Amino acid sequence: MTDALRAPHEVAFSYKRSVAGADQLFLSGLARAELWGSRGADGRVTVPPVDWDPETGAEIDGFVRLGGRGVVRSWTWVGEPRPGDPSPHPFALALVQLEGADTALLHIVDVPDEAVMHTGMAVCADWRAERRGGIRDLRAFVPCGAGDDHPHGPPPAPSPLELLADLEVVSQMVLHYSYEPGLALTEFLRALSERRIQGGRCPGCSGVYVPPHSTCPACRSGPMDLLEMGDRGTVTSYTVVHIPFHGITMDLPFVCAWVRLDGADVPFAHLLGEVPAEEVAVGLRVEAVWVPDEDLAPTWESIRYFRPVTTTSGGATHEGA
Amino acid sequence: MTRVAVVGAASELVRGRDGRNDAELLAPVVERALRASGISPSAIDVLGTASSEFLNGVVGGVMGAFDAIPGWPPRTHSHLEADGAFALYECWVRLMAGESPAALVCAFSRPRADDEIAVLGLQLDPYVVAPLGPRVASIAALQARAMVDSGRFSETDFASVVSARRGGVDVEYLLRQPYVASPLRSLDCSTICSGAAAVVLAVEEVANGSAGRPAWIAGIHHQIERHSLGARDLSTSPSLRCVSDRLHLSELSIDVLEVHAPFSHQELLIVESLHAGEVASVNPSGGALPADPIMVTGLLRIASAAEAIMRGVARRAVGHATNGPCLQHNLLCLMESD
Repeated sequence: MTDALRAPHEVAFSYKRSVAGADQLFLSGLARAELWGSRGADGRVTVPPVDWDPETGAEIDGFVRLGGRGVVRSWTWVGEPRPGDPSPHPFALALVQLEGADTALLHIVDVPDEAVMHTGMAVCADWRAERRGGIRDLRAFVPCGAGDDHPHGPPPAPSPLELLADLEVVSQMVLHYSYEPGLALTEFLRALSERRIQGGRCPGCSGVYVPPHSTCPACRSGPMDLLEMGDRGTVTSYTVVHIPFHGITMDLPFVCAWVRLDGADVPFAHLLGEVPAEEVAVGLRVEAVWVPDEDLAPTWESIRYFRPVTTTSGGATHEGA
Repeated sequence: MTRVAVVGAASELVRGRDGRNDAELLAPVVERALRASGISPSAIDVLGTASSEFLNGVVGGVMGAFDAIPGWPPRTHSHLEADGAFALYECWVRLMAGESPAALVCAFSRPRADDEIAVLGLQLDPYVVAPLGPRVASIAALQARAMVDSGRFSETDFASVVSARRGGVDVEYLLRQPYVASPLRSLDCSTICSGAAAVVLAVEEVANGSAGRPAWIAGIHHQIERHSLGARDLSTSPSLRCVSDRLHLSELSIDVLEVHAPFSHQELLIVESLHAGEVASVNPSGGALPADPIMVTGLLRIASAAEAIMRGVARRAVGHATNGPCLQHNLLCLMESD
């Protein structure tokens, strides 16, 4: 089916990560334009530093400061940087092995042209003037000047490193998706936009589901026979919400309830309205209050909420606004 | 000790978007795998599933997919955010431990992010790597460059893999294409798609009564390497070599080898690191390059290798699966006919 529903959907992965141990030491060093590694029991120096040897689990011997000079061990070219990349113009992503280290550090090499890049080239750290304790305090590695050992950073010196407290690594990744509810749910949502609630009866176990599933969750039979449900049902469970949250559409406190429509075997979650929270009880008879016709859309929000049954005739209309 | 076999497998790859959700994609695949095995769902007390919600962005959406697997009565069910091959490994352990006569393993994938590459960035170290925003192809390219620099491989070798997996595209033509992340070109990188796979495992007495010829699991093992890219020699795969040694592949001749290589150069590194005695055919299924349903791809390799045995075209087959950047984590499943 090509006309299945689809909607844009955004998820943000926003985290503030606190740091400790070797990470805290490494980032504290970066804030001082210093590069630090850890020395393992076997004498090997690892950059960025680790707290324990990842292969043997042995505790490390201690931390060592390294100079800002190294050699490119591998690299690739980023010809079309994206917003947020470490450089606005093309750059090399590279593994740089610092002098005195046995492992390589992932960072970028800032050169004007890919043709300049080669494995084994000597590079030196180029620091930002403003540093906060993050990997990007190191702006980039750049080709070393001839005969110039440390043109872009201070030489190693045995000064004690003070660890920065309250260091945080902040990530603000936002990903854009398109959400596809699937074939069965597409039909259900389209029915809602026509003021209809669709159910599905399993051909195997006769269970009636609202919304319908493509395959019965209990016995895997399918496809379900579609049914037109009424918009009246019974509260099977509920909770009273007292805490505001993003996207809230109801005044606090409000009631979120499981509603089992007449003829259905399973409930769905929806909102209750026109009833004080203290009067809600399991077993309460409720009916749907639909939005005005011009607001009907393929979404659960076409039903504003359920309210206690007040009439003996058909479905409720938009009276409760 | 009991033996465990693959007794049924099925899969489906979907190009583009056909409107189905996870359950609608997975249900017919599960049905076909169960039918192929001839095993009653009532014999299955262990379920293993795998997917990643980061790929389609529906938090908790994985629950909807479980409509497709036997839901009642309740079973031991373990869901992994990893390739389905690792769910298969867990199910194999459970069957060997006597928890169930049979198990169903499934994986499903519908990548729906505008930038799937950004999604994969979420698996990188959040402190000192992710803030640099590296793309997955760029990270893979560091490995490809290390392989070229080692002198053992060339860009022409990479292009030969692409040609073999992508319908015989001319190698010279491939080498004239621009780099996407040097030394990799866009056709060196897998084509991400949607897909699902299901595999039925059974212990010996059930497998012997199954519908077809069982593919006996003669050995299955996995190893992981350090997560710091700069601490690894990316031109080698010690984890794969270790797993291969454990399965004694150097002493065996293999009819069908199915490898999970999302990048052309990785196929070469995998085959080299296996150090297998003799390999008659690599990736007769087409491999991961032309169709890569992330989280399904590795299970698909094992399923394809098993199907070669079940169809009688192979006596010994190996399926490989990987997780993580630059082949960080590798699994091998060695299967044999009776």
